[in-house]
Amino acid sequence: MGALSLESSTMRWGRMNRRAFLNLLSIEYRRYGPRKTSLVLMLGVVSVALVASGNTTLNGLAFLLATAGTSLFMLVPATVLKDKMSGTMDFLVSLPTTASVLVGARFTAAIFFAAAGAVLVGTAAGLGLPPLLGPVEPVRVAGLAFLVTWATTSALACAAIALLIRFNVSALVTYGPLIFVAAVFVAAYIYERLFGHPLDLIRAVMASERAPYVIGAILILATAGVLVASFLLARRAVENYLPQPDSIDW
Amino acid sequence: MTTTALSVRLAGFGVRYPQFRLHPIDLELRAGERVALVGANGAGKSTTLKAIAGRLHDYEGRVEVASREVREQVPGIRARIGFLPEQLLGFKWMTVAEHLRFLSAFFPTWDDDYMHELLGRVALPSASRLGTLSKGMAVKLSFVAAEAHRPPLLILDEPTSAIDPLMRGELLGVIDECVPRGGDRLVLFSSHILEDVERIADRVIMMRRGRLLGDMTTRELQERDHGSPLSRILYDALGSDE
Repeated sequence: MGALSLESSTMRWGRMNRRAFLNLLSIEYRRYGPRKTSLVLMLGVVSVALVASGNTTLNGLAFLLATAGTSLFMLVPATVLKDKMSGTMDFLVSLPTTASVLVGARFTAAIFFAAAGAVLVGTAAGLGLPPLLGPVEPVRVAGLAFLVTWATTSALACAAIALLIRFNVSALVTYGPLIFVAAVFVAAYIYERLFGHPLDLIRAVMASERAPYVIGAILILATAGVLVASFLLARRAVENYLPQPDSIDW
Repeated sequence: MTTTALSVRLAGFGVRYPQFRLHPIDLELRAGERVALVGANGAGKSTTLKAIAGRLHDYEGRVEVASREVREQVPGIRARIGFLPEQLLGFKWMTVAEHLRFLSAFFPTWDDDYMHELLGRVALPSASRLGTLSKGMAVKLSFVAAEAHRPPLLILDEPTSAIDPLMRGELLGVIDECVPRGGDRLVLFSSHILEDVERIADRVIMMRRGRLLGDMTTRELQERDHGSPLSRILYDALGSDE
């Protein structure tokens, strides 16, 4: 009897967690609103149109691709900061559900939006890059661009979510932008030293039969590692979350 | 929907913050009681209530709900506790109905019919957005959210502190009706409005500057002071060394 009631209690808790997860996920989607999504989609359409018409340079193309793709993946991390500022995070962490459910819903939303951004980047890359690269299959270029963008932006978004939950608002506002700018410069410097011009690297990768698969596999593994580490950090941060002294009451 | 009764025990419960210290408290609260924590601001009432509600993890001693340390039961135990916080929290773009629907997914014993009944009793328009609610309306919504799953332990943190007398009376009446005396539910509320304590509580825990000052039933208090109004007795007790 004891075992039976333990089992049914566990099953009921599991069912509640599933319901809570889906509920949180639907809120994650609703709160970004159709307005933001349609704005980003419009940006994507403009990018594709410019690339298709041939009226853009490599730099212009890169800018548009980056803008369209990254606008979506930054949506979820940005709302974590907003939640902390408004006190909504206090509300979320006080709900009777596990930290894993709370973090899982937010990560799932971030990965979903990163995928939507990656579709834009992949489409635009498939249309725009082959003329610059020479004889390559547009589908392969699009596929690799999608995978690289999705993996990278998912990892970045989830890591950003974890850090935004973990650290308090004043520390984030003071040091966050400085760290971000420094990280971009260091990453660009390391990239240039290791791989040279982006087009040369893409040409070399696309010319090889195996390289795209190797890169894909490495990316998937690296992304999985970042996601797991971010999940553990965020879960711990939620479990130990304290109300923000600098949150704004409303 | 039946509820399983819950009791609460505090053993050496205390906190140490840079600007505030709550000295160790020992208390036993039994199912069926209506207990008021009274004291001025900074007495330690909200800290005690948050700990019992499983919303505080950094404290000394033990806080047991249903004979087990509450921190070990978080987050599951929160589904059995109704908590009305000092300030309504939620997504301000949601309507009242959306907010309650959102919350219902987290409470296995949530009763939609009862929720609608409560909304009617407190006359809360379900289409209003949270961000546009007055303070009084926000308190009413918090009460509906805390009570709609008929929790065995209902905790109300300063439910009437910032609302007008008319709305206060209305809310206290609803609380009185929803959790009638003689049941098996434990109601724990904090207030510095002594008239509210007189109306709702049958046991009073007095706190001052992070210390427990007294713990008596309202009858004991009145007998001791020869039938004086409870609010006068409490006022004298809490203000005696101010």
